[in-house]
Amino acid sequence: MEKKSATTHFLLSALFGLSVFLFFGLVYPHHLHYHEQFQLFLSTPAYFLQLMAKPGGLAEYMASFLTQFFLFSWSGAAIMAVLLTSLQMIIAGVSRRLRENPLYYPLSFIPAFFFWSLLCDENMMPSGILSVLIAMVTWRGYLEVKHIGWKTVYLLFLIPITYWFGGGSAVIPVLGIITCEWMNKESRWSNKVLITLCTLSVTVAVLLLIPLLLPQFPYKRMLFGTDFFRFPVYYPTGIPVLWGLLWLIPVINLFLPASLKKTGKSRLLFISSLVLIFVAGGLLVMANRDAGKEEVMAYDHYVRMQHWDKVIKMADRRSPSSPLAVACLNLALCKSGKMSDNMFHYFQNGPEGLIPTFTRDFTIPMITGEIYYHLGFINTAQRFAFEAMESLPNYWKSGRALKRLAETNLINGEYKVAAKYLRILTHTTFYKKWAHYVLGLLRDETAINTHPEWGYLRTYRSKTDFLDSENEKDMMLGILLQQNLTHYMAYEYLLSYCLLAKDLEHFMEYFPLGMKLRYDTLPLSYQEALLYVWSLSHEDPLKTVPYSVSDKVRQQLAAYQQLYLNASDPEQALKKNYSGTYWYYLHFR
Amino acid sequence: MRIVKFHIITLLLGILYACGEPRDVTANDSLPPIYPDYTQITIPCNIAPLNFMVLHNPQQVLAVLTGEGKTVRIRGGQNIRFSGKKWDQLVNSCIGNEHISVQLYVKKDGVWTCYKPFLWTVTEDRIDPYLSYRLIEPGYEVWNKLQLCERHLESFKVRILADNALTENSCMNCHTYGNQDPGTSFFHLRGPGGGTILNRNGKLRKIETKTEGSISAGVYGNFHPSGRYGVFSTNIIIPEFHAFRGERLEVYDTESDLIVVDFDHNTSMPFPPTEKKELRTFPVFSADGNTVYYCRAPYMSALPDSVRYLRYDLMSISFNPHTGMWGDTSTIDTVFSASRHKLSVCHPKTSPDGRYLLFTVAEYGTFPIWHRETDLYLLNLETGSVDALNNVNSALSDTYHSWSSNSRWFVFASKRDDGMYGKPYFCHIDENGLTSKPFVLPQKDPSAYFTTFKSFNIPELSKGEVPFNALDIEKIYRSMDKETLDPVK
Repeated sequence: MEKKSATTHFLLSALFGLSVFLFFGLVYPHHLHYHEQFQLFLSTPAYFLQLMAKPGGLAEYMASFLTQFFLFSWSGAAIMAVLLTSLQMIIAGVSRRLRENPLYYPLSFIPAFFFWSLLCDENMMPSGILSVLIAMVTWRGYLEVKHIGWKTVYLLFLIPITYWFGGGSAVIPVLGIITCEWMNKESRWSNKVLITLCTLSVTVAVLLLIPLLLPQFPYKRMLFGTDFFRFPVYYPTGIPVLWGLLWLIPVINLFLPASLKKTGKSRLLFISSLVLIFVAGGLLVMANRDAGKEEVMAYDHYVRMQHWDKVIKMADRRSPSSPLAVACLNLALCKSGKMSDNMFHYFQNGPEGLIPTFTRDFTIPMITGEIYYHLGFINTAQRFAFEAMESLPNYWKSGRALKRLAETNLINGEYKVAAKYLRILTHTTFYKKWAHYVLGLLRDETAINTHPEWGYLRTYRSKTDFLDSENEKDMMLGILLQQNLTHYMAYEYLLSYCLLAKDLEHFMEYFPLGMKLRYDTLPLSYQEALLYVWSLSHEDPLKTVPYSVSDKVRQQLAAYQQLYLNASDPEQALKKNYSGTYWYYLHFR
Repeated sequence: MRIVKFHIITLLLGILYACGEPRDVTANDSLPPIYPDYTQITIPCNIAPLNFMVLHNPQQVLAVLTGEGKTVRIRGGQNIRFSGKKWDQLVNSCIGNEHISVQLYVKKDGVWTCYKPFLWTVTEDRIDPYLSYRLIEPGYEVWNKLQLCERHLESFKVRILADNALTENSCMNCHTYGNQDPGTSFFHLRGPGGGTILNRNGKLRKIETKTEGSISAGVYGNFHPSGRYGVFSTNIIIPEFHAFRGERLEVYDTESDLIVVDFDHNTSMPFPPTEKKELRTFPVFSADGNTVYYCRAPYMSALPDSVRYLRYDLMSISFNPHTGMWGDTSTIDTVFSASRHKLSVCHPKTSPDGRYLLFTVAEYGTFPIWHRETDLYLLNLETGSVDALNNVNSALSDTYHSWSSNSRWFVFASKRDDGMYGKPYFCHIDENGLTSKPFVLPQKDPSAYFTTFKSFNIPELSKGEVPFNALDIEKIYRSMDKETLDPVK
């Protein structure tokens, strides 16, 4: 019977783990990539000591080690599954040790589901799981100690150690141990008092010592120890609730009957509670899921990996609407040579969807920096990577940003700085190989100049100095293009910028700069804009237009004009057949 | 048991062999590839051990240091680290311009190489034992973690004087001493609870230096030798970003002027009016307190387009310490006309003995830290001669300097290693004004500079420990009321 029960429990945990695995692998893979790029793990003693020098450091170190595997979403999903399942199993272990009853196993899923739902927030850090796991292991360990003397010794040592390794989650075993001791009918009064005094005095001593030992940290942050949240100045209420659940769920078992008289009732209770918890837990997770953010993270990830086709395929399935996602799409279209033909087939939201404006955070500059990098604004790309990393609120470093800093310095010939970043990356697991490869290339001008990416960017980057101007991006693009009129991306971005800004006067002015690019056929959006501008000032424009505008575009404009002038609601009337034209964007966006 | 004994004996013999003298040594007549570059330098007798590492991944390193009758042998895998006791004994035996010879044996690919020995000259001129600096990542607009730190130069002990994690992530500027006295210092703390934090003999005050009509709160400043006055610039500072290669950040003032603050009476005295509108910045008192040196450029309306033509000259104006009044504008004098040489002056600092004025020279502008061409120049105030300090400067930015109280040492921030991350370098200047090759602040782990993401900004020397810490600054930020200044018309 017991074996059967153990198998059932194992299968339930496996089902839970599988659900977590599939969720992060299929529904939320890019949240894992998002974590990885903002958390650099270094295999150096200095890095270990730096984290271990503060409460919660071990949890952060272990989480940081595991997070590097999030670069591959399926390995990240497996890690999340193992961690959350381990949490559930250790809750079950504590609960069972307190009092075995039909409900203890189903109940152990409640905190695990709750934490899973918290982790749907991209700023909730995986180190939190390690923190509570360390705390629960301490509680579980205490339950194995029988002798009052050993119990006292255990508390005196393990509570400070748990706090130092796992941070504020140490409150869970503190409360749990005191509660259980008082609920234990077999425990003598003197023992209850001794354990309570011992636990509380160690806790108070720790609380008093912390500001003296670590005066440079805000006290509130030290109470939490481990950074559960990416912004260490914010403490979401979910965390104390989680701590409360991790204490309450095992303790609740003390109030439940060890067994029901009828086995059938017991089984029914077990199954019904299980179904209820799994359904409610699943709904909670899905309610906390943010599909919009996942979409932007997906676009960003594909841009980072230069999977341009995946970006376009994704947009073909559902046109993006946020400026960041649209900016990723436009970059992918341009890198694939499709921007000037196809960009208006997708939703466009103005120049911000081409090159988003700088903001002091860690996500937007990272994405915008990709655009500047591929355009050849190497210094601007470097600035955005630096600022993104500097904006990380928890002071972590970013492997992605460091890689980009190494690249931009390499392209600029700043080999000593590039070497500094590369040497740091040699202490990572997944950037090491790349870093060693690039270190071997440093100062080899021929190898860098013939490199497909860095050589290309060296050719097209700015050869003269000017000051960046966020408000005059077209001016910056113009200066870059003037230096090399074969710079395809600069030309496409410059003209697209004018089109998106509805600045047709400058579009007409800059259009001739593309003569050296020798397009086989004039890009569609240019044909549409040229024909439109011509039509504003010439009679019978479809016949007299001097540009190589296709017959199809001419016919489309005629039909478009017809509907635009005669329909009672032109926007709706034109939407079906003309929403993918520049004219529609010009008039209705 | 015999087998165990055999293995133990073999192991011991192996260790003895490994620790023995290098055999079959190949001589190399070049200086060894070490980091930091501590070859052929002059060091103060009270400096912490100059730990260093040998580059290019050696298997084993042996350093043989020979001083006055003393020989010290240090071994390492890659690093040479001295124990405090051995270091002190060696250095103390060589005080008085005696040399320590460092002979380095390096084993690589199984072959030992003996490099040309290098010398450390130990001078009895002590350096002020404390150094404060701001740790900051060399970013652009965004800052995140800022700390003002105090390093004990005779050991590796570091103390945090202020941390922006405790002050709502507010920006904080660098720490400035008066006469290198730890009891006289200030720094600006920004943010809602900020102000100029003034330390006078351990009593901390928070002062709002912006007054009605002034351009801004105090920015660059300096103490009068009496400690009663402070002279500050007030600036509207604009950052811009270069698009070309190694050029990075351009920071310039659209407006700037000077004020003298009387800390005893809480008054602010503006610079006397001049005929033409000017940009004035980086003020500093002379050692006798009767003169203020500052940098001046003609006002330019076409910034940033004409920023490459923005050039500052080094000027002086008299100051009356008895009345706290600026001198008449007729006392304004040009000390060094940098613009005539198509150069621009920043950060003048007078030596405490009054003999020298050390300043920074760049091709243009007013923010030398991001100008690679920035060098230190030394003006002899007695003879008027200017030394371009060729043996001190590097090809990359050398600036942000401060004197030791005995005027025999100065420290400056140099980006000579990589052009990006500033580090404090110390330079000896003898009684004849001759400077020696500078050396970088020693660290316990010599590879620390390789992995740090921080720049050491505005290093300043001091004779002792400052009487406050980060918790005091937190309290001041959160609960102390700001004192205000009355502008003197």
